[in-house]
Amino acid sequence: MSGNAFYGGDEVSAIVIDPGSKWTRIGFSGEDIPKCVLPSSYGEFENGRRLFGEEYIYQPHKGMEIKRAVSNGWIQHWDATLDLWQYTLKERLKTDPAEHPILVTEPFDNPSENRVKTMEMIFESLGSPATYLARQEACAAFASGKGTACLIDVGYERASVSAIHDGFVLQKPYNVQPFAGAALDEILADTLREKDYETIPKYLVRSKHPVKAGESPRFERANVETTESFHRFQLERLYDEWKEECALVSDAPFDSNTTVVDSEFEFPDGARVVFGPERYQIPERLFKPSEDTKMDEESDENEEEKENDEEEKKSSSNQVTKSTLGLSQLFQNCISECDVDIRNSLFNNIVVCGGTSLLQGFSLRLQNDLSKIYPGNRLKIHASGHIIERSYASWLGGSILSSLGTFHQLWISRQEYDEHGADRLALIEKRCK
Amino acid sequence: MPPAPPPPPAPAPAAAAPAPPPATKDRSALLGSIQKGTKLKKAVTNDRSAPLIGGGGVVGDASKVSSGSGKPSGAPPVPNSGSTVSNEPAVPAGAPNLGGLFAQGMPKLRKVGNTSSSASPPQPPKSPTPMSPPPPPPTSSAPPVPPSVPSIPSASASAPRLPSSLPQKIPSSPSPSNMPSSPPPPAPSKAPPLPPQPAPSISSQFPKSSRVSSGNSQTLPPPPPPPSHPPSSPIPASSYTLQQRSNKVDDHGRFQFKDDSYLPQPRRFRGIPKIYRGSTGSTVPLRLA
Repeated sequence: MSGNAFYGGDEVSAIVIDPGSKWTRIGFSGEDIPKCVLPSSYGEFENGRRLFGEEYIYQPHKGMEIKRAVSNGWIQHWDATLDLWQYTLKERLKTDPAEHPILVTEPFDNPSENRVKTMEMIFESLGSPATYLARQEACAAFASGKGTACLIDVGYERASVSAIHDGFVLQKPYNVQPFAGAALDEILADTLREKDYETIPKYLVRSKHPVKAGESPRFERANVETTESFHRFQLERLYDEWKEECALVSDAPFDSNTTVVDSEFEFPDGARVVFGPERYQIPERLFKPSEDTKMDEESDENEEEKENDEEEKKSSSNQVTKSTLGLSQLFQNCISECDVDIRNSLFNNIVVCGGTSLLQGFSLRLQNDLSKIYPGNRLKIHASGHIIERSYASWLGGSILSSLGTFHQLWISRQEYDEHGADRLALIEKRCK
Repeated sequence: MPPAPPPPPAPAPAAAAPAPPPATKDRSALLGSIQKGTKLKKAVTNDRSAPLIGGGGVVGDASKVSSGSGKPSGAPPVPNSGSTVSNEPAVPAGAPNLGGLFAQGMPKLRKVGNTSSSASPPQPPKSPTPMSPPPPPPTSSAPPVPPSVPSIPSASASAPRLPSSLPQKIPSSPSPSNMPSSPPPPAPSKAPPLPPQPAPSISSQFPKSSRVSSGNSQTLPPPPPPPSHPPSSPIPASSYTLQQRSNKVDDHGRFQFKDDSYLPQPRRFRGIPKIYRGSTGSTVPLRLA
């Protein structure tokens, strides 16, 4: 807390932590943006030393491996996550966690042991006086001011469609699959390999010369020694830029009749590569995961053969399996599990969030696809035009929730935790729905 | 290991799934306040997850060359997203859900330093055209009261009331002579030009009902003189009284007056701006300045 303001009462603002697979958002409750957004990845050396934050892990350090503390939306490396949060709270936010209640968001399918471990970490390691575990899906809906919504969240490692009713995430309609931004990265990597272009991220380029489109790049390689994981991490940044610049979701399913607008993308080594159908085909996979966007009039037999071949090729890439569904299908599965009475209010309150949902043309395509499937219904899709609100929706909901007067009774206090005894899961399940 | 994606739902009747807990009174209050929305404090983030490339989208522009290692810039607003309004079914513009909603009496935005990052105020896209710089939202915080204003009529005890009346008055007051138009959006920008103007012109826009001090005497009557104290010493017999009066009042014992020393000590003066708690027990401080 800043010391130079005189508070009329004794106010302590809560801290909101929203750990995502790619980015971790930490800030103070009641604020309209998290003060700290830093990667959920961290650098680790052989001696165990860890580095957090872009200014450290984007730099090539000898012997630094890049690891992910959170993957598939779940916290995987607990020590590293604790270090990450402590670094952020103490060094970046300049605050002592022991003075603030901490609200942590979690996905709806967070395993029970993760929930208990999170609460233990907050009370025992961070020494916080109170905590609450809020569902990311509900928080994202709250950020749009909705207690009832159908949330379509396409992030980095998972895409989910969930039904939230009166602030509770409904169990049966919850649909999630690990096919999102990271999968698009893999597909892009394959595409670049097919185009015979060796992707060089920025840290390897010491200097470069301008070349014409399609020409081989001419550049001087920087003399750095890094790890494979660091290299992949830097490639991910480059793929992000491509997705922001070049990727385009066509407003109807992409096929041979779609008009293709070419675009040139300049890579860090100076190479200027022209992308045509790939611009559309790559994000198309979110709506149509299997590869038949390239096929036109193949017989069923050929399709199956090709599919099997593709699947073998794709076994290394991000889990495009027969059970990977398009987003519209995920949505259908969700709605069909919902009570008919609430379906209308869900249709009227479709909220889109997640970084990957910012792909150009995404919301329009979603609208078109869904209205074809549900022609009689009035669908209202709320896709915020503001990047912050889309990418940070769950953090914003946590900020709103923890700053409301009516929420204060819901905190789990340190005293309750101490008194409750061994069955902490029961405490969480009772209090944090 | 990420879990396998869920299989498509089976047509067989589903087993009983745990139903969500029933609504309670408190829960409905919570949901109500969520739907009312809350104004969040303006904060600055160091968001380096924003794209590094400058400029807007590439939609429809075949010849645009995009650089993979462009200069760092704030995140460009997303063009063409969520703003399509088709006939049926409708897709509404992506409403700036935080900026447009209020809870009753929620505190105003607290600026935390200059906004150098991508955290620009939420903007309501009304058309599919690429974003143009938005006007300051009319629903943003009331124009900041210049700290000098309360000190202008410093002589009067009614000076502290001025800040509370000022935010409501400025948007509705007739625009100063140097402003040609008076729609609400320029209201926040009107506040800064006002302080340099001499104090009398600020208060002269205020109807007499706002209790402005007597320092600006053109339009307002001087306030009544402070109430005189009852004399604490015996009234000397003066020529106009017909009889001697003692200072003792016969109140039949109704009042038990105590000495002034029994009053609690006032708060120690610190000389720094005070922050008060927002209404309904919120933890977000109320900023009146």
